[in-house]
Amino acid sequence: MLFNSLHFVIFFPLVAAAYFILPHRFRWALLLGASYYFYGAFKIEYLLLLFTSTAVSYVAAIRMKQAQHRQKKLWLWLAIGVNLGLLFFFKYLDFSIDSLNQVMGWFRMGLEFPLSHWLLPIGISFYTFQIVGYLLDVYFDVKEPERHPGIYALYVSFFPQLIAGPIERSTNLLPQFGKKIDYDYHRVVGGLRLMLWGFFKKLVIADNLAIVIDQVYADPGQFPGWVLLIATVFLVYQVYCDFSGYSDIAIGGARVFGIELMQNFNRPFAARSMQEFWKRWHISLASWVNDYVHTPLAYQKRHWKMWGALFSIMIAFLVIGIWHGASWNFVIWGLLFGIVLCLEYLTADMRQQLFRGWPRALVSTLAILYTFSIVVIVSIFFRAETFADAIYVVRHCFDLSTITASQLTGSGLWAMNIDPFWMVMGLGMIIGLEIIQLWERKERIHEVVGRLPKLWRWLIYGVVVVAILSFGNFDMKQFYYFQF
Amino acid sequence: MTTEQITAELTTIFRKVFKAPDLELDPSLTPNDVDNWNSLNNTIMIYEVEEAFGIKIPLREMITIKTVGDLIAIIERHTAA
Repeated sequence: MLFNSLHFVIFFPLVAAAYFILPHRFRWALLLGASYYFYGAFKIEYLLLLFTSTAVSYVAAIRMKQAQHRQKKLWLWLAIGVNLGLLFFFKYLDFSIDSLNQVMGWFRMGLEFPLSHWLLPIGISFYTFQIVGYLLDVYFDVKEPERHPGIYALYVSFFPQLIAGPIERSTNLLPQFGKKIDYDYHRVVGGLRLMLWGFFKKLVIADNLAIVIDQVYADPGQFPGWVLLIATVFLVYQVYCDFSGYSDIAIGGARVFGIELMQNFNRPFAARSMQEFWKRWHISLASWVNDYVHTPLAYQKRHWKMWGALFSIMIAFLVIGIWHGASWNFVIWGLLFGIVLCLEYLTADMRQQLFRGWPRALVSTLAILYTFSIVVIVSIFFRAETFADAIYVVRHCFDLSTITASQLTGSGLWAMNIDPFWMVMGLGMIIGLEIIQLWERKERIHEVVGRLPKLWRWLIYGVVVVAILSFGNFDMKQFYYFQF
Repeated sequence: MTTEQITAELTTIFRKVFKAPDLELDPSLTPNDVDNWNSLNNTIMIYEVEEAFGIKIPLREMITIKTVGDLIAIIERHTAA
């Protein structure tokens, strides 16, 4: 079930109403039933997979707690193996076969393995990482294993964050399901307000920015450099509004039930380095990879000193890239981030010396521009249909020599098959969003709105709802991150 | 080793690894209080600590370190053994 569907608009209030009517001891069962219904509505077979992952990790965690050193490790690897094995099978098998076939093609071995063509079960990358995190937490005694099978199943499948995160931590989410939560008007309305803002970002901003992006990225070779650049800047904001919008709906939805999920985005384009960017963008994934991949690896290679740190950064970003998708574009996307982070690490002292004495505001502005430019360039690999397209866009998007005055007129844009209305609206929405984000330095916008006098509050709700209904794209466009 | 001796040795390591020549250690200090004490430099610092004190800090203990005080306690435990 998609958040942006009529199905969800009926489903969510019904579940919320039943949640507050039912006594506390039955609520986990309601949320679990609702979550399985939510997931099963995509494809009923997916439930079998979710159930297998849940059952294996539930049993393994309890066994791990009882077992001694060697056996404990065995249970850990067994459970991680099953979960990552399923992820590999459904997400990476065809990619691996395809890559193998290509290599064999280069050596003219005349052998070609058939592709499996399995469909990617929605959300599998998200809930698999959440399960693996839990298993490692239990292994390292950070968390006691959950004994209640229903509560554990709910931890894996809690519908607001099941299919696109935030990837939750066992230490944050599991204890909350056991707590008795009373109905609190302000909390519920606060959650709904955040959901409304999330829907606005997704349906109005992201889906409408997609109009220009889809046109340009369908055949980038047809467009001059400046159009490629604008489309790529649009792309950065589309992905941001789509995914942070989804996260807001998830966090707001969970808040209605009294469950606090972790923050997933924190004004990422205000970052002054790539390292800071990854503390502000998809925080739940970046911190997961930091805690469960980067830290153990850096620990293991600590005797390599600086090289150990650099090696673990590259592996961590390789994991982030591959997590996103089974294609070389994502591998390169991840490695590019890794290389930039390594360079930042190596040049930290030099940069500090270089900019010593410069006005602080100027250094900050330059640093923000630098970070944003890297994000723009790297994003090309995230979106381009083929590797050749990505290289084409990288090579041409900063070439502004082909710009002509006639291209900048409405008819000039129409001649390129671009709707000028959405070009101008796109730029306007991005500027508007940035003004709001500047405001959000101190407090999130939905909290500011919540404190306004009633009349203003309702006026804003009205404007947002009308904007969603009139400009919202209701073609049931999937959330960008569902493909992962 | 006394806590004072450990703190003095640790101060030298922190100043070198985190490039903070004037840093004064306090048990309540967290990574947020020390420039350059981030996930990239943390394991390098741990390695220097292991070398200096002749101990091995297991990963499951390293991940529990939230303050300088936590680290001092771990070093005390290992050097006492």
